[in-house]
Amino acid sequence: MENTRIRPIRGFLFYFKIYWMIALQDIKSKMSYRSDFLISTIGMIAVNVSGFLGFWLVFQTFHEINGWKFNEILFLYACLLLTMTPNQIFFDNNWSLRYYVYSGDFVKYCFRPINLFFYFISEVIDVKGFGQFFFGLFLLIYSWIQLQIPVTVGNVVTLLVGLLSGSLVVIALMVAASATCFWLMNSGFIMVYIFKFTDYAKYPLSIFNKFFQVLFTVLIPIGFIAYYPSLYFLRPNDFEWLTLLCPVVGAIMVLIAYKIWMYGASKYSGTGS
Amino acid sequence: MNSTKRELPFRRYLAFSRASFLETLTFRASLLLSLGGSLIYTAVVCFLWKSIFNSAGTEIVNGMTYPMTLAYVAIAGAVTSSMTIYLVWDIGRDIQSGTIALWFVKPLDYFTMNLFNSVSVIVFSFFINVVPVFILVEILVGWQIPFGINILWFVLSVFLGVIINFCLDFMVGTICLHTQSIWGINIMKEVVVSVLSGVTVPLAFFPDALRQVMMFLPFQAIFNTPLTLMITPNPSTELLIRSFSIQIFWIIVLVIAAKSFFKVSSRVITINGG
Repeated sequence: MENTRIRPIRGFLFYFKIYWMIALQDIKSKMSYRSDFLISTIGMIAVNVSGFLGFWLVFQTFHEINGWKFNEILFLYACLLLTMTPNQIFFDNNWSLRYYVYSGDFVKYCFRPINLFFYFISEVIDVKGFGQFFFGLFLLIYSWIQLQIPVTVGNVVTLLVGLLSGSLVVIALMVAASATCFWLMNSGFIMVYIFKFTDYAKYPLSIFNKFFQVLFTVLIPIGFIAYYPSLYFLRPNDFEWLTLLCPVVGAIMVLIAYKIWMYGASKYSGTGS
Repeated sequence: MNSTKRELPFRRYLAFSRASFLETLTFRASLLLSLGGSLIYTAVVCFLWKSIFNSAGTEIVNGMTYPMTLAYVAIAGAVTSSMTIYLVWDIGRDIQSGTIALWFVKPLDYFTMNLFNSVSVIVFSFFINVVPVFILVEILVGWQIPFGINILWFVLSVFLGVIINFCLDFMVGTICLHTQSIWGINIMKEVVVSVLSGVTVPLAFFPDALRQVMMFLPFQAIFNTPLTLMITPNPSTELLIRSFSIQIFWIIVLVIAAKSFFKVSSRVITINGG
């Protein structure tokens, strides 16, 4: 039959439809635990609020950090929250990858005529991430108004591009971290580790010495998550050329992380049962 | 049956301490990585507070100097990571999977068993994490943190803090009996403790009114009390007595609260499949 022919590469629309079908099932099952959903969403927002409170408390006593004012730090933090959101909502299944690999259940993903990574990732949509999105958006709008950044089409588009490239960096880091479990048993602690690093992205990179600036730009590039993109708005006159590189860095990192993940998956040999 | 041999009150629980200690030993890679994480955290907060104090322009802010603040924040981070033992998750899973029923039929107290289980792991990972971080801090601030009797008070007080934190963890784990949500409950507890105990920002930098309220809550007794004792060169007898009696007061209150809350809650346990 014509339409059962397996084609290796499918169109965007096809994947979009499949994604919707799979993700909908997940949302349905999540909604049957309503109190868990509510508590988790509150918990998520509580984490974000505590990050905000940390800065707020510091600025009760001090007036600036290395030339950065409260509203600028807030802008940076809002950018971080927003760039963390896509990873939180759409790539949450990576946290479970090690269980699937360990127990052997991962094999079920290998027998579908669609992209392996796509199928695995589409299985979970983490709804509590929306709490983070709205809190981040609120902080961003608040600090944007306080800083009196002009609202122009150019600025909005630049911000969106910046946030998108930051999100790609987060996604790439977490995908690569989760892929380590194809080689190391139970490598959850590596994910926790990298996740903690992303939290340091809320500090302006300029407070660190040269060694750490290079470390956070090249080796663990958390500077590209929020700092370099937001420099465009906070230091419009002397932002660094690295700011312009953000989209390229994001795209390249995601590509590499995807390759690592797929390579690990291709090495997966099951548990033998 | 009266002739059963008398044993030391907690002897049977020591077996759990030993077992969980040995279990931790088998995960050496993750222990080393957690130390690496604590050291990097120390470096990050070092830069952060150095630039904060540089911008302030004065040496002493609210009675805290830069070396004191760094020692406070970095050691708080190291103690936190040695206290993170996922007890809430363990209890939550015991409840959700039903294994908790097996503990009820054994001649053991679930609370005491978990306490002995946790304490040995925490003490072990305390030495792995806190000692190197302390040395790093001393190097970073040029040995300005006193090294004497204050360390003894700090260690004693941290130990009491660990028990307070354990009681809170146990209570939060018990809440999972009622809500079936582990992640959300656990994360909320972590946030509340890390903000209200001074781990994120030392209590000295809190606005006055807020600090007054904080002093009446058990959270500050987990971190703020031991860390204050550590960075105070010559603590007065009054400070020592007050610190320790507040901690002991909270231990008594929270042990009673945790045990009775668990007792009440265990009546409503429903285990799938009967």
